[in-house]
Amino acid sequence: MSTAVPQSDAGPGELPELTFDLARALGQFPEFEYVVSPSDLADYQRLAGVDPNPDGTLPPGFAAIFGRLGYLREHRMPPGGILLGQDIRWVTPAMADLPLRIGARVTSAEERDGKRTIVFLTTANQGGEVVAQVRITARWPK
Amino acid sequence: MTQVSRQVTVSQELIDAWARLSTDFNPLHVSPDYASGTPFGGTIAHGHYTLALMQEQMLRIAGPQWLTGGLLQRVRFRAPVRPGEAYVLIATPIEGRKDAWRLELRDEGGEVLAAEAEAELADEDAWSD
Repeated sequence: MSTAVPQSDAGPGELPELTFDLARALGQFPEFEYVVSPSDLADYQRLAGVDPNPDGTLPPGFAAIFGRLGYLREHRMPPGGILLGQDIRWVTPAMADLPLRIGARVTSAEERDGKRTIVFLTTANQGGEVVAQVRITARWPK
Repeated sequence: MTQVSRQVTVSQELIDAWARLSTDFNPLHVSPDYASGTPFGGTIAHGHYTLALMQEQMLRIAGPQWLTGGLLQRVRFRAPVRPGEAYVLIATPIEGRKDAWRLELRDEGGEVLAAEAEAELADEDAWSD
């Protein structure tokens, strides 16, 4: 990823683990700017097997990427985590050549019968307008 | 509207490239040595790669309207998506519901369900924070 995600070449071992307690304590994750470079876009189109959108809009599959980055940009998921569910909503088109503002927060962190479950909500804005939201529910190992 | 499907072939090269794009270098995806010692027995594709394919499938089906109210929900990952294998992504209209589809990613033979989801063109009420 280009300028927006400085740890793009970092392996997961270089990022601290996001533990259940840490996620609950943080509650909210720092907002950041997410920029899709032309080479990112070309890579995406090749990997997803899609043509460029003629109107210059960002391919919707990028929501799957920034939805996760919202809470894991500066951390890594502990081994053994399980993705239980995910919802993605597009509100309005985003332009591929403009930066997105990504923010995420914990909407629920529960421990029941020894099982920890976290719900994250990532919101992407462009030009001050919400373009997409991603809700991720995950079983957290520790 | 009828069923719409597309073929997807997954390779380790594709998984590695997706890891670079998404900055998700979990060794379960990119390290065959590490992954061979896990219950999966080998590397698997990222879940968000499957989600991206589903999003693109819906853009293809619903057109630009997908970007103004498209809702992908109830995503479930049922079985690992492995390199070296071919899959088919199937979108089927849900009977009795307007602008709603069931999405399934299955192995080439159709026997193994790897992931499933529902997609619809929804109004704001369909989403609550």
